[in-house]
Amino acid sequence: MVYSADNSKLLVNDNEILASSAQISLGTSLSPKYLMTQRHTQDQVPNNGIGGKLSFNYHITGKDYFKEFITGQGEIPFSGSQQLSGNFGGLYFSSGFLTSYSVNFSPNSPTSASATVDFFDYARGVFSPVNQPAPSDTQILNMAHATIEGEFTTGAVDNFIAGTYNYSSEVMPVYLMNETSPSDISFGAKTVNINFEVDNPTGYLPISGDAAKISVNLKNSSSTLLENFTCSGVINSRNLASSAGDYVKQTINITQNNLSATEIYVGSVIDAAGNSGSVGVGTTGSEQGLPS
Amino acid sequence: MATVFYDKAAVEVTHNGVSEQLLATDCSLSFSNAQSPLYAIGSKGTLGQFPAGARQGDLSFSFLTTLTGTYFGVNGNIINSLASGVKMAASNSSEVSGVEIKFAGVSGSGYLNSYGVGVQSNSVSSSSCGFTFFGSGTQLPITGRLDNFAGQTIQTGKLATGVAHGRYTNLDNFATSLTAGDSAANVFGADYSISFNHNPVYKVGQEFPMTCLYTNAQETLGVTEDVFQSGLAFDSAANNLTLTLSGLGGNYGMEIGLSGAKQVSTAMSAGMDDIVRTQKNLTAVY
Repeated sequence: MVYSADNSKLLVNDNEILASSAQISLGTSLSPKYLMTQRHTQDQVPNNGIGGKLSFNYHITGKDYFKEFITGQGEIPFSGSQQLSGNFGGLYFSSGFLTSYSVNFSPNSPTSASATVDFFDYARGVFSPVNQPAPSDTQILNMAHATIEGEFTTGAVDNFIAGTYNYSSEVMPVYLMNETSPSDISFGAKTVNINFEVDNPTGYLPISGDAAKISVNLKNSSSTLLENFTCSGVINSRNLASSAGDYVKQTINITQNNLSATEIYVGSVIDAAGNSGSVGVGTTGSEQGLPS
Repeated sequence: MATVFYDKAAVEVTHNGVSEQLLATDCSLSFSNAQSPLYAIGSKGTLGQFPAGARQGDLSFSFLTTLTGTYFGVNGNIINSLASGVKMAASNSSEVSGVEIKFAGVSGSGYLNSYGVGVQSNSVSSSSCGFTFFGSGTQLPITGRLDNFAGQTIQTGKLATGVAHGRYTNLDNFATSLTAGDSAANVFGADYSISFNHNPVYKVGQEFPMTCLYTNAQETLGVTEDVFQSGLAFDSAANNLTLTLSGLGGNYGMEIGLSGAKQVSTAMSAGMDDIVRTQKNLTAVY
């Protein structure tokens, strides 16, 4: 039986995703088992657990659900879910982790994003086609309404032409002996980088990088701020390119490695009399000023 | 509602404060946005139509090839002068600005993307051109509403000598001359055209481009004559040629220069009740 894209709904943590494309892939880690004196073998044995990936592209309609995982996943304290469940046309997994996420900023274009969720199990369930109409009154944010702010230690940028925001995270399963499913997940380093085509060709790049910050504010047609993507780090690469019939393109790349949303957290203080009093929590990174 | 008859729908082009009302025989203007449907998997139908590009306009018109003016040091009509200027800008890879075009009460800043002139035996020469309106910064590509715009009163007496005509235009310098056989060709007409490629640069957070660059241009001259050049060269020599259009009595020559033109094709065809006509095409690029 062959189904159309209309029949395969995508749910992540039970939220319906208006994905323009999606794919789920599963793989084993099999290796051939050779015996001494043998050059051929029929046997293949697993040397690691099953791994799966759910990748999808979608358009940003407002505050993006996946963005909180950038600063929250693997961090303490984090009130939200650490895990992502996925259901693609009835094939589902219950525990996955955001490993990459990207948002594309192109002039006059709908803002599009892509995400990859890794999970360490096979997909359960059976494919169950759906037949439902597309939602009406969908708002899709367009980059024509966005505003870009940049802060640079050296030099100035007058125009931000196009760019992408990228996030990647190392997520490693931890297996116990005699178990084929991971008993725990180890979160590794997380990186955000933003690369932008700008209009100030220069070759200045010190060995220690150059501190910089770019903030992209996504707004609707009424200029209401709905989402923000900020990368505050160092410029670690520049690129200058041109081709016949085109203009000279200067691209900068800023990388940020500190992604903990909570910058300051003091649970309580004890005064001279020994009384404990709350002083509240600290600020929350790039989430400030956004509607809930 | 405005009902405007064609005699009140003049076409006027202004550049650097200098205007000319062209003797347009037709004109069409279109304005479009770039709505694109978006779809999501798992649902039937579309999410709606959403903008995927900036609005832009296009205007094209045909006009009698007037010769009497001099614009920016170039004899002829203002379109010919613009084409010459843009061609120079294209060869220098320069940033360019649009020109103000007004048509029936609607106006905008247009970038010349094509221009053509035709001249045939015993016929009044006609030209055509096309502009694209990109807008700029916060400036819309096109503004205004359909309304009477009569422009200047046309001086018909001046027109008698101010329009290029095939009777008075000498194209002998384009005649094919074979080394063997009889004499040089008779030239029956010529069609010249040039197209410009422009590159508007858009940025995020702004609909209209922040600048526009002309990148390159290509021009073609098709000459209709009666000699077939079967000895078309694999790599013909480049020549600097000048097409001179003239009006009544040979006055008011308007020149179009082709720099480094090469012959790229030759053809011949025959129809009932006519001689066998040949055509050679010359191209030049900038």
